[in-house]
Amino acid sequence: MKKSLRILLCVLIACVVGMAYGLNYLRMEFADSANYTEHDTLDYDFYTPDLLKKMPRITDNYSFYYSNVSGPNPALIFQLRFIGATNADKINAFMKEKGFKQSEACSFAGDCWTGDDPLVTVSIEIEEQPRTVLVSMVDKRT
Amino acid sequence: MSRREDILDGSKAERSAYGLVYTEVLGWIDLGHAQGNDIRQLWEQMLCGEAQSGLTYDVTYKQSMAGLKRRLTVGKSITWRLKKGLSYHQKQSIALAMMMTLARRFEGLQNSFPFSWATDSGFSGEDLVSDLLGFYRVVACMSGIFSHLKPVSQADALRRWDHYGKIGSWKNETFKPLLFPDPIQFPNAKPHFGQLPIFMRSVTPYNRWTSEDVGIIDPDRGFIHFGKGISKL
Repeated sequence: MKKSLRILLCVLIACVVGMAYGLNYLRMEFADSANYTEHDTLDYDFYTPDLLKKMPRITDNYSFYYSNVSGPNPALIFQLRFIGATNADKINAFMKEKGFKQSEACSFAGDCWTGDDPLVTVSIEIEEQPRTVLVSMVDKRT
Repeated sequence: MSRREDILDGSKAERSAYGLVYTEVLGWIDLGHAQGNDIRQLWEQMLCGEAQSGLTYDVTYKQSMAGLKRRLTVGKSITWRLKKGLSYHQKQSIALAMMMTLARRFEGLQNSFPFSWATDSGFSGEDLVSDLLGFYRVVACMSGIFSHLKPVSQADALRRWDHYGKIGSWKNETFKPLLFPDPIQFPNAKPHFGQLPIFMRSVTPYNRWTSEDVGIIDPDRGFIHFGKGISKL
């Protein structure tokens, strides 16, 4: 194979790989949502904020949900749903430990928590049917 | 953006800032689009502009989508120049025209490659009517606005979603509500356009372009912001 042809082939392969990487990056960055568990390592590492990673696991049955709200009021929403529990005492204690304070301003029903940045709020909602503790973190920083 | 997991019970619509509810009057409503904060910000610009010196002032309306780590923000904006001293109703009419103009362009952006590859949100059936509801939540000064829209229970909303499929696959390029009849009561029905309630028809979008009240400074700006990202939480 001629040297020039080899170079051309290498450039073509680099372009295809670069384009695939770029498109995949865009897909992950701008994904509308993701529904995953801690065992889905790629999604768990990419989407989950540290606050939810470190949150006490009050049941063994829990899952994560990420949502990217675009449009007139953009925000990122991160949810952690514990199935089979209605006692959020450990989570409330964790929020205090992390420096969050209870507040009125909330984007969801339930108890609201705000940290140093008022654009980031966390709500903790308890549902009886089915027994669930839902932690929702809303990040409006743009 | 809407997914099945976003669906809330209609009773939570009033106090939730995000999520998806089904209403018998407006169909699916994306609560994130319907907050009205964008309209409040636009209104603040108008109030600030009126307080400034000079005969005119500029106002900008934008919609955007941000990447997960905020290293990349993509959106659209328009800037109009307003003559000072316009009436309250004229300002409402201008705000509505700006929102409607830009909302269509932004949905068009989301509907184009490469964004259409990552999201089915462009002209998703609920987007534009939810934007319009956000506008009227601010200008109509009505408390308990969802009580006029007949939101349904989460179970009824899920039944519609499961029967008709995801709302992102039903495109709506208008501000009219797209209604999905209850499949139990109407098993052979198809989605159809409904009529906006009277309170959502009270403002007419500005169109007096022959007057010199409004000038267009920036008719259609697409923007991409590259940032350093934000701190992790």
